Amino acid sequence: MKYFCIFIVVLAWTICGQESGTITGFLYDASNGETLIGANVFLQGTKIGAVSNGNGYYVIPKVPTGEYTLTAQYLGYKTYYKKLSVPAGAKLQHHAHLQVDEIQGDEIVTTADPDSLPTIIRLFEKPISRIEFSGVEIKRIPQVVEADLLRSLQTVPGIVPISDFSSALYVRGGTPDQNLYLIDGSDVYSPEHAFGLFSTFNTDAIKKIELSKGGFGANYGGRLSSILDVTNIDGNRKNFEGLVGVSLLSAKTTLQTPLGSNGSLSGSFRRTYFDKTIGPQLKNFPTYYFWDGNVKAFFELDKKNTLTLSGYGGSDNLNFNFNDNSTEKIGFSDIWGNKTASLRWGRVIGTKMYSNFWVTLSNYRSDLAFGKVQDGGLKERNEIGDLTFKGNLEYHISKENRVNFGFEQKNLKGVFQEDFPGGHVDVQANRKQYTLYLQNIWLPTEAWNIEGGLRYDYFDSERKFQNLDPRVSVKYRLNETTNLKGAAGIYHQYLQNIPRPFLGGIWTTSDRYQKGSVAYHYIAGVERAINEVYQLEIETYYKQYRNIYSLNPFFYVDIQPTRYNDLSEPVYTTTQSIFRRGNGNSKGIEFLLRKDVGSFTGWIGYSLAHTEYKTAGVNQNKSYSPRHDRAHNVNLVANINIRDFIRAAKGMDPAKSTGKWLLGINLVYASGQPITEPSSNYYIGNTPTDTDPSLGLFPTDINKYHLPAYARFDLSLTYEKQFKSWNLSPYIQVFNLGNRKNVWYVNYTDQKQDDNTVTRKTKILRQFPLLPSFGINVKF
Amino acid sequence: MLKYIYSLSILVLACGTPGYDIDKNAYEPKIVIEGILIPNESVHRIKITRNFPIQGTIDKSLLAIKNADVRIKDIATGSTVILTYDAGLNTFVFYDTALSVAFNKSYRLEVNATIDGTLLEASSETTVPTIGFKIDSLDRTITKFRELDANRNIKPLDIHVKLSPNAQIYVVAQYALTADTSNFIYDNPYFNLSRTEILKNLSSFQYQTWEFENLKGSIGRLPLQWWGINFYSEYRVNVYAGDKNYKDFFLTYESVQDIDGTLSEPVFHIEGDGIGIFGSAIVDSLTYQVVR
Repeated sequence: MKYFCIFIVVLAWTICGQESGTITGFLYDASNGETLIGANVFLQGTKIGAVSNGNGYYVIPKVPTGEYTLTAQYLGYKTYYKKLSVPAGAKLQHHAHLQVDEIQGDEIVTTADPDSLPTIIRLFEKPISRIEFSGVEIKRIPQVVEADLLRSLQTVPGIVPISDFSSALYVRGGTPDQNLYLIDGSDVYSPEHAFGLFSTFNTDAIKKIELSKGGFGANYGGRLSSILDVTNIDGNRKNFEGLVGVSLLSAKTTLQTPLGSNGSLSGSFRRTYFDKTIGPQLKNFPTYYFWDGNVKAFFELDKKNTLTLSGYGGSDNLNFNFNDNSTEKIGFSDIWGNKTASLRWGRVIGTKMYSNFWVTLSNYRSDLAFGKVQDGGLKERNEIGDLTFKGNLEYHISKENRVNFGFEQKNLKGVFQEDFPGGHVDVQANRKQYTLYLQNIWLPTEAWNIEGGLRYDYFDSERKFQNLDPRVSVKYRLNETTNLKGAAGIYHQYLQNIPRPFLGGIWTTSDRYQKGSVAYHYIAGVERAINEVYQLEIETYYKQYRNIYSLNPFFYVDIQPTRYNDLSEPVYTTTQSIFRRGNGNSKGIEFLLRKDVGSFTGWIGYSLAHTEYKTAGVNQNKSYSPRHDRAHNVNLVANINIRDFIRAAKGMDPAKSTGKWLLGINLVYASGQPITEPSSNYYIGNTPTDTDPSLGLFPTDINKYHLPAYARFDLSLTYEKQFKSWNLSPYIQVFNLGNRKNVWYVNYTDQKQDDNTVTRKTKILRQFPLLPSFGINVKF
Repeated sequence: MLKYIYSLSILVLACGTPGYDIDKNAYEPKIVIEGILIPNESVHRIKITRNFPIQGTIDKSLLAIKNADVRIKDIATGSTVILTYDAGLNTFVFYDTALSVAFNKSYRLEVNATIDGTLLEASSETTVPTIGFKIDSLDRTITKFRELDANRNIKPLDIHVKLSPNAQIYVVAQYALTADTSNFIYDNPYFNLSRTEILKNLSSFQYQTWEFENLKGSIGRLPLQWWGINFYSEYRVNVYAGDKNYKDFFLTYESVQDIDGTLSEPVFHIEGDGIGIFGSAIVDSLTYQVVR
């Protein structure tokens, strides 16, 4: 209530303004009509400006009457200028079409513009702990075989992977299920294809990526750690455009076309073909492929209304026969994938309000079979999905004051069914979640940016949960080159995930057995612009967790059936005993030095972090570090336009040429992960007549030891040749150029010497070795 | 110049083959208990051994702690008996009628032993399941491997049992009486193995176990698992109806390392410096034959 009163007072104060006008409009890419998200618009010579929202819309309210030069800037585009006269009470609508920098094309490098908005102001406008990338930037980072969004995000300080075999993100000590993945407004529940090589996000279809590592505003929720909001391209509104690419593992295409004069359509499709090429030559090797595709249609209904229809679908298919030589074939099969759809209606209401309304659908489903149930195998269906209605309204009260408010109504459905010899699992959950939020962004002076918000959740399960989460963030411009920042907030989550190595995890919801999880974020930092070329961000954080859940690896010891079927076999329908509940905390400090301009771009990141959990039933109830805890992480990402880099070193201007060589570098150094060692071996039989006793392992304290440090050096080289109306880009990539044999884990086997003696063998399992790959992209 | 040196040192770091050695000091001596009480049987299956460090070669014959002090207490009467080491069985035994393992009764095992100069103590309690478990029948005693019915479906091969009211787990332990490479079932859909591989792991193919939990009512069905049938042979099957200690041990002792390397603590109901199992089970057995 207190926050509400403050909001009303602020609202009344700001509405009673002086004689002024308002400038609004959309920002577009002049070449294809694509809206530009997060671009800066300002009135030259003043400190009045705005940032375009997720629809490319900007509002500059309460502009004092007078003559101005409207300036719009976006990375990779020429600065846009337009002289405007603002009479008293004017409601000017001006759409700016920004030209792609001809020298650089869609290259991310650009030269510093003397008229540019100072870097420190761009940093000031960026929310705390947020990292933003374009699809082009992501594609420049060398990865395994080809570009991948999640793997690229693992190069950002504060985000670590668990191993080379997973693209899952561990953000500031949080687990992957604590990240909310959004694609055009729809939740994505399991955004990984098999073996972690690829995520479900096709980088060719991405327009904008916003990643919040913590301290995010009240407009986001439902997860404890981070938000990854991906916006796909709407489609070229002026010309037909296509991209075709082939690599060692996959082929892909992205096509865009105008739809009449006021719309566009884009579509992407890719499929791996390992199963058609190398796979059949390998004995005892699983058959695996995946496909995925996006479709997006954009319609500008009139000057005030836009409609966007977006869909994603994908499927992974894995099959393995245990014995290809036998008459009868039995094996393992898993088919899984995500499907999402969203309909977004964007509407300009009056001059100062922009609204978005969504209807979104999301579904993740996995169908797994391991042999036949009657033979001792199992059959499983694992599904999670939602139908969500949500809306967000942003009201620009004045140039100092903006209010966001919104709602979300989510209808969740989870199914997990498993048939195994002598029993069945049948967990079905239908849940409803209602959310309201209010956010106020207030700039009381030019030096302060204060954002306060409240988020209310009501989660309707077998047990009702309701929470009111306050969030606050503050930025302060210390001087012309430095900002100070801080944020704090409470975050709730009502979903838990049972992770399974190499397979999609199983989602469950808070219910009578599992409480909602909660995290408290405290963040403080400083950001500094250095010579208008470098951005330095230092953030320190402390995160507390309550009621976080981890899989009880021996849940089947305590689980009790809820009923019995007609054959008197037990049927398990609840999540009782599945999880272990615990508390924890993460703390750390991150340094990010980023350079976005020039022929050499990239970043150096360093993080010092520590995460500690205390979970009932683990490590004799003592604190321990989870396996994803890494004390030190260093990342160096560099993208170099070789010719321009050499020319710049010689003091020469960038070359005007139709061809360019691009070098990508990714260097990773991380201190070793915690690991549990066995303290001893022992011999034991499992029945009194066991003729084959096992050599057992007894562990030491959980994660007491550390693996050797992880290091990797990746390189890519791309030649981009521009022809008249098309562009050719062959590339080579080398993952782990130094072929460092990073340790994954230690495996323990035994080797019989004779009937009485045995030797315990320890085998170090390694991560990816040197992996060269090549491919070609053609854009037309 | 300095930046080139830094760059070079980082690149050098990204090469090589880092090793990893197990901490030799991580070893802690433990008494390993392997003991399952069977009602109406004398106590002659209590194996007391020691654990040993991870690295090095282990001689199984040297593991028994022959001079351990092993006692079993009847919790209801409070009487305690001292077990003696039987060199022939390599177990601790008590044949006197002063200790008679009975249904539904609770017993406490106490072990004191010195390992590597350290005196260790371990204890555990078990309650013998209630009378009731018994094998009723098997669908057929002679079968072909994955025998088909008239509709070409695999015919079930189920053990039908009477259940014990409070048994927590039913363990089926199957042993092929004849096992070598000549009678191995090569045309099976589960394994594609050479004769060398079979010979190397012969004992593990010969002896197979699987389990059923949370069975309800007075009768139950325990399907024989075709993946556990690897030879054309006669099979001896023991079925154990075990208590909670046995269930927790059986379900966890071999699942300590996950496929991503993570180690978890197995669930043993042993206090003090002991690991393993002290439990109880009712046992019944049958035989059947798999023919070509």
